[in-house]
Amino acid sequence: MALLSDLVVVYLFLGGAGSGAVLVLALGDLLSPKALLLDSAKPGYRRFFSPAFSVALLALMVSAVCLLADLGRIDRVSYLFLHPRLSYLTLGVYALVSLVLLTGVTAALWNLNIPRMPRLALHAVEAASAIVAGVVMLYTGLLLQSIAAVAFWATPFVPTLFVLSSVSSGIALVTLVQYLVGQAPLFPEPLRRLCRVEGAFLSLEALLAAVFLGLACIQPEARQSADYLLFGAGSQAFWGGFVLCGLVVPCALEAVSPRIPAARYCALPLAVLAGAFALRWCVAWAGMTLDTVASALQGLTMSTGGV
Amino acid sequence: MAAQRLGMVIDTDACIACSSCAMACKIENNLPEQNWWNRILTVGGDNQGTPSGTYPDLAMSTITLACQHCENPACTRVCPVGATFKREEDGVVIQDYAKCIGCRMCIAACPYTGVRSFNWEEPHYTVPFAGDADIPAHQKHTVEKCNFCAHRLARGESPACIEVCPARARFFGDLEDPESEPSKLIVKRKHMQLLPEQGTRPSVYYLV
Repeated sequence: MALLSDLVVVYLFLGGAGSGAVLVLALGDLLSPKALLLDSAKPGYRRFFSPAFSVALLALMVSAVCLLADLGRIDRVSYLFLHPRLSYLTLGVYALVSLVLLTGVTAALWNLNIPRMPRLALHAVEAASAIVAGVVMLYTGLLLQSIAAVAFWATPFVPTLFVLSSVSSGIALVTLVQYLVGQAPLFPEPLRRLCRVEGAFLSLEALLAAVFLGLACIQPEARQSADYLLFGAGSQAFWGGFVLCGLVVPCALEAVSPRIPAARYCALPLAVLAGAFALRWCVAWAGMTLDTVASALQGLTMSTGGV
Repeated sequence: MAAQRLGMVIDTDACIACSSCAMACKIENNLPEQNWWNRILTVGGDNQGTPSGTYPDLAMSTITLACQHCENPACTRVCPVGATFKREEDGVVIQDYAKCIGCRMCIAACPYTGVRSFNWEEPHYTVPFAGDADIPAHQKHTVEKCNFCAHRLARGESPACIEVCPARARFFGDLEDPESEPSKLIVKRKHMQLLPEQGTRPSVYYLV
C-alpha cells in the first residue's frame, strides 16, 4: 500500500521548484542595483519577471491542488482551517496557501502595468514571498523527516537535500521560462550567474546525496531503503533519473556547450527539473519499501531482553 | 477518580495462533473485506505462516498484532485535524471517522506498520452486516484501526478478542491499577513490548 501517492511526489516536486523559483526571483529583484519605480522600469526588466513569476505561481497552484487531491476526503479540507491541530501538514498547507497568495499578488504587480506603483510595495510583497518560499522549501522535506518510524526519512539530510534541490530546480524553472518566451538572449549575464549558482547547488546536492545514502547503508533500519535505490527496483530512477539526468547531464551540457542557447537554457534546465522530480520520487518510494511484517517482528526480536 | 490506562497483556506461551481473536475483531467491528485490525504474524519467516531459519534448523512462533494504544502515540502528533487522539479518561487511542480527512499521516507515523487500514474504496462486506449495532459505519477514504472495541467499553464490557480467546491468552484491564490482572501478570512474568526504542510506550505487553 503506497502511503504517499504519486500526487504527493508531484506536490513535493512542484512545491519545491515553484518556491525555489519565487525565492530566486524575489531575491533577484530585491538585490538588483537597478531599483526603480515600476512604472519607469525598463520593459525588458518586466519581461524577465512577469512570465517567470506567473509560471512559478502556476507550479505552486498545481502543487497545492495535488496536495489537497491526495487527501482521501477532500470534502473535509475545510477541517484543516476550521479545526486545525498543530502538525507539519497543517503548517505546510498554510505556508503553501500563503505562498500562492503572495506569488499571485507579486505576479499581478509585475504583469499589470500599474502607473506610479511604489517600488517599496512590490519589494515588501517580494520579501514576504521569499521568506514564505523558504518555509515551503524546508517544509517539503520536514514533512518526511517528521515521520520517525521511517528511519530513511527521519534525518536532517532529507530537508536539506530538498532545499538544495528546490533552489536548483527553481533556477532551472526561471531559466527555462526565459528561453521559452524568447528572453534568454536579452539577459545573458543574469542567466550566466544563475547558471553558476545552480551548478554550485547541484554540486552540494551530489555531495549530500552521497553522504545521505552512505550513512543509510550502514544504518540497519534504513539499509533496506538505500538498497532499494542503489541496487533494487528504484535503481533506474535513482541512477538514471537523479544521478544521470539531474547531475551528470547538466554538468556535461555546461561544460560541452556553454554557448549553445538551446542546450544551456532549455536542455540543461529540463535535465535539472527531471532530476529534481526523480529525487523526490526516489526518497518517497525508498521510505515506503519497509516491510510491514518485518518491522513489527524485528521489534519483537530486539526487545526480548525485557523484564 | 484517577484516569485509567487501559491495556492488554498477551501470553505468547499460551497463544495457539488459532486466529479466533482476529476473527472476533473482524465480526464484532464488521470490518470490510481486506481489513484486519488484529493479525497473527509469524516471527522470523519470510511470509505469514512460514518458519524462521533454514532447514533443518527451523523454528516457528507467532504473535498477534494490533494497535498498541501507546501512552506516547506517534499517530496523534501528526494528525492535522485531531481525528486520531488519545482519550484522557482511559488512554485508548481512537480514530474518529467523522473527522478523518484521509491524509494517511498517522499510518506513516506509526512504527507498528500494518495496524491501521485505509479504505481506498467504498467498503465491501462478505456478509452485509455482521457487527455490533453500536459500531460507527466504515467510510471510504478514511483510516481505521483497533479501538479496544470502544463500543463495548462504553457498555462496561471487554474487547471482543478477549472474550473469545480459547487459550485464555489475552488479558485486559487498567494498567494503572496494581490489582488488575494485566498489572499482576506484568509484575510476575517476563514480558516484552514492541519497538520500545521508538519511545511510544505501548499499552500492549507480550508475556514470553
